[in-house]
Amino acid sequence: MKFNILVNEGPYTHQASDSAYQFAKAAVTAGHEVIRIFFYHDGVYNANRLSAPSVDDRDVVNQWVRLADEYEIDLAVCITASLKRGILSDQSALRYGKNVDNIEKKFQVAGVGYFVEGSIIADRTIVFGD
Amino acid sequence: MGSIKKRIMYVNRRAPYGTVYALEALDVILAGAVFEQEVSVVFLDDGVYQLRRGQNPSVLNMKDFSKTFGALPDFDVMYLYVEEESLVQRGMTAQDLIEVPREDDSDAVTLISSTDLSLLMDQQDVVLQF
Repeated sequence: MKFNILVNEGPYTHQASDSAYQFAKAAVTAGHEVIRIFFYHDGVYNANRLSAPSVDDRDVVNQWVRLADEYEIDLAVCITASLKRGILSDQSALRYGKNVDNIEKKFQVAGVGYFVEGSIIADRTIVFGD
Repeated sequence: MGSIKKRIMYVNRRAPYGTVYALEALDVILAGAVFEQEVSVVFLDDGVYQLRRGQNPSVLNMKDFSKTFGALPDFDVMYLYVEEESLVQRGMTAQDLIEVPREDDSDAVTLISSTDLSLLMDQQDVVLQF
């Protein structure tokens, strides 16, 4: 089965990104395909490469990167939602005159239509959030 | 993309202000319109406040985005379902809601009973709740 996943909350405050990660991992391990994981609302904070959790805690951002690497999963953050929350690609940082970019490179930046397109292609769309 | 046609239902369950979910849900609906799927929008629970007539959120430094719902028929979204029970529970009637005229001047805002709504949900390919 092809899954399209939406993550609507940031890491560490909500369970949502952990649950989404566990779900995606279980799905690919069971032989299903996760075609896309899209990060929206505060979910865009999952792409913040400046996140530095303590060593005895899970590293949510790196978990996504490792999962995406291992199973070739497409990670995408919403451009509009991320810009206003200060999650910037190198291109956006340059464009808006900010002195730093902070998107983890494994995440691509896309319009929210990219998520809707995923829900059309996939067999199931699973939403993680409040 | 044009060949796959799915029934997508957006379910708005939250008040228009206080959190960003309602506003960013509308962004998804508008962005998703380019895929020309069969789209309906539902207002349920506190979500019915999103269509409340005479909003004045400028005192909260927020934009009144209820006007944008008026554009949905231009994006081929022909049904804005309002769950009757949610409306009644909040002391409101159809007269308290904005009108969203279609091209033929009929109102896209349509009251629906909880029972009929669950039948309609059952017929969807994708249900996205915000």
